[in-house]
Amino acid sequence: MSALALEGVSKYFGALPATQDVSFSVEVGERIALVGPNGAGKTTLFNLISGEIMPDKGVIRLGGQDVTQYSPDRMSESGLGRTFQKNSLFMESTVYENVRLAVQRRLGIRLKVFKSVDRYPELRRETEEVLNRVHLTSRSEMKAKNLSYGEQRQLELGIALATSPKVLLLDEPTAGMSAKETGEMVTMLKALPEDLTLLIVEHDMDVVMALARRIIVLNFGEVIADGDPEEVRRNKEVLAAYLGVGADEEALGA
Amino acid sequence: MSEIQTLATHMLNGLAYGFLLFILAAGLSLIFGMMDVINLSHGSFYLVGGFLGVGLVDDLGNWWLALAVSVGIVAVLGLIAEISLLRPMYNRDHLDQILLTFGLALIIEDASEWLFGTTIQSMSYPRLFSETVEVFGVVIPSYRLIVIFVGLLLAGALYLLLERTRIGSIIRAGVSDREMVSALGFNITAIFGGVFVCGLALAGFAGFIGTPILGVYSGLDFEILILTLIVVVVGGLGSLTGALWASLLIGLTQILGQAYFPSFASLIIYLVMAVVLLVRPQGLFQRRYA
Amino acid sequence: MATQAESGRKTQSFVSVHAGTIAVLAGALLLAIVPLVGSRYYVSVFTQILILSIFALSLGFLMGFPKLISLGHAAFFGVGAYAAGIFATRVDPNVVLTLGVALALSLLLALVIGVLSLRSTGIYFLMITLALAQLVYVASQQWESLTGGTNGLVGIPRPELFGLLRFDRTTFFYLVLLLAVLSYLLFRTLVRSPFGRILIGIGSNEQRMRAIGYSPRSYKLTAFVVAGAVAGLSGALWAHFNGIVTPEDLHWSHSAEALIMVIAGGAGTLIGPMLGAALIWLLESALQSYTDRSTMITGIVFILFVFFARNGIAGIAQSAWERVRR
Repeated sequence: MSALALEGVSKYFGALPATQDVSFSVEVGERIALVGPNGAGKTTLFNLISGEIMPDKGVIRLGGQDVTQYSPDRMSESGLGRTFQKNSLFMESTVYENVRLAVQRRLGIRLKVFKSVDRYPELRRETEEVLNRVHLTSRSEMKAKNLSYGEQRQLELGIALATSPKVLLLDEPTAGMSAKETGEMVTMLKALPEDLTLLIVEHDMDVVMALARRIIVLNFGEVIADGDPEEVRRNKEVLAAYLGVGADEEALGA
Repeated sequence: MSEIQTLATHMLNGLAYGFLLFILAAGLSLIFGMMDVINLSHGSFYLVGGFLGVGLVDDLGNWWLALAVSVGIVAVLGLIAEISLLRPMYNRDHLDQILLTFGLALIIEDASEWLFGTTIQSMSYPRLFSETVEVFGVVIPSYRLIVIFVGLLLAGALYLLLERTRIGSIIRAGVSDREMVSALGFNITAIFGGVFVCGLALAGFAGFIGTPILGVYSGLDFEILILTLIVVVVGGLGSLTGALWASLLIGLTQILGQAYFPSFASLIIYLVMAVVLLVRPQGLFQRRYA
Repeated sequence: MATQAESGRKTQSFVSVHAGTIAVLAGALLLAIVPLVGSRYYVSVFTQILILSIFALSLGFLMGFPKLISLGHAAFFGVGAYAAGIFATRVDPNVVLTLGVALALSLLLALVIGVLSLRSTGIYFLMITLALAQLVYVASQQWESLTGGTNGLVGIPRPELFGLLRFDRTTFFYLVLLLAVLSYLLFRTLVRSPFGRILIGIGSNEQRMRAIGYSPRSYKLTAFVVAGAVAGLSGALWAHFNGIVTPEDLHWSHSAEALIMVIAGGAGTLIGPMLGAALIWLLESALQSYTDRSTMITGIVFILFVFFARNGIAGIAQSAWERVRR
């Protein structure tokens, strides 16, 4: 059974198709890169999968279950995690508290009102474990807004990981990062458990090549290529899409 | 007068009242659409327009001149408020700006009580429209017709301005993507200021032309504010079409309610709002330029 | 008190963790002396301030943590006041019962208004709470047989306690003081609990909260209902103190006053709104003896706070404290 499957998913903003008849299926543990020129509908596709917006047509399945109409919170509970292209953190809270909120949800520590949140040892243990995974242990008492940009990206990932998703959508995890930070992020992502399914939107082809075995190319909301890096690189439509809109040729390592 | 004729008179009064609310709601909506700020001093500038009108009509002796001068003064006051209160706050949370407009409303209310007392002040109609006209046996003060006419004119003008002109397209773009507009080299601060002043000038204008009908008194500012808020909530924030229909709905409900169920009139307004919100939480019309 | 769970992290000092509680308890002890040394006048003054500080505290909880800016909070205050007043007048002036009825009814009203208004967020929420509260205000004017209409509900008897005690000025003051401390402790416990952390998360970034699996509405509704009930409690105390309830008690300007208190005291803390209540009440009553323009001056003070001290008295105190420690 596939971890995630899209069947004919379409979304229109007015008359404009943002996503058109997109179908693909992702196996458990697969790492897929979603590429395409700006405005190709990658983030829209993420928003459709994560339930932020509802498709006009088509079916989305998570672990075989029809989740097309699920809201973002139900998607998260069903095992889908995501990061945002623009950091979406709890800026006034500490790094520790940022991650703890997500751990709280996973452990079901919600409508508890009597005991202080600091008195749940399992919450602390799991939170520290996640902080360790995203290399932020030394920053745990800093407010999120005071982190460097690269560290904020790490925290962005940490919050998503803390919900223990089965499928994780990463929206440009290395956007705006320095080469060093990018390298660190790639190391972090490579160390993720093997059964975690990853879908990555990324412009940096080095990152794509380092992480993904399979590439799906979107243009004008449509899938124009889907296959291993070599296939995709030779695909004429892909070349036309990139060159046609004047994107840099390097984008596909051409 | 027959029942039907009475009803028709009430309906016309309701329409006039509705268009008055529309002028207010349009300004509030415009400011919100552009700046994401609900101007809680909107009713206060209505009040200022009304009080200025009462004084200036007497002093200047010319109704039309008084109208122009009043609106001009309100616009200048609006500009001062924008520059001194809102402009320094653009980088802060929108809530802070809303709070400031609220503080301003408190000050204006108290100042108006100080200067004019709490009694109702009235203004005469312009001579031209002080007569009544009879249409199909229904007697109507012609001034009401003028208010309706002005409201319609304004609705049309705003539509044309927003949809057909360059300024309108900048404003629409500013509503949906502020950064884009400033990236394109337009002076967003000037546009904000302009929109804010125009919105307040509309409120002052409504205050002036509303006073011959409603009178003006300290305390009316908050009554008007709340009615206007109800209109934009019912119509859908930021939607001009919504503001128009909701103004008419609320105006008619208010006047007919007062005529036929005097003790429940204001209750009915709130019930209408509650029902609309139950059915459509985002108002009758969704935000147009979101 | 430094718990096991905290030991792994950089432990904050006892004083900074419990600064609010220490301040509130010290303040309560100080106030407890007032009836012993001060005149009857001061007992009244502090009774009123304490009642309003409970009211401001309940709104401050909403504004500071889940960031729900309501302009209709007086509806709960007023309904609590009417409930307690009517119950005391017609049924029984036992304070446990009157406060219980007030809590129950304001809680119910908060549930209804919350369900309606929490479908929206931000400015919409503000306007809808305002309008719905005005609906309650109009209803209180119109339902004369129950509320006494615009004249208000008069002749509310002094509360008593199971025939054991008939409250006088001093004992009532102690009751209010006790309830103010309890209200503070209630909200403090909530804020520090896992539930409270979720509220803070919602106030900070609702979209992300959804993305990590929370459905914000139910948490916000819970917070709204608790705050409404406590506001109702403060209203009930107000009714007992004054012996009269009028529709003005739930007019929106009363909501606005609570909002001013919260901003002046400092949203985002619990002690701030309580101090804000004291400051604004003292300011207004001091001004009223010199000038009729107290509203205008309150407005100006409010604007100054928004401009220069957005975190209110609590914020000023905090930065002063940090400067001293450095």
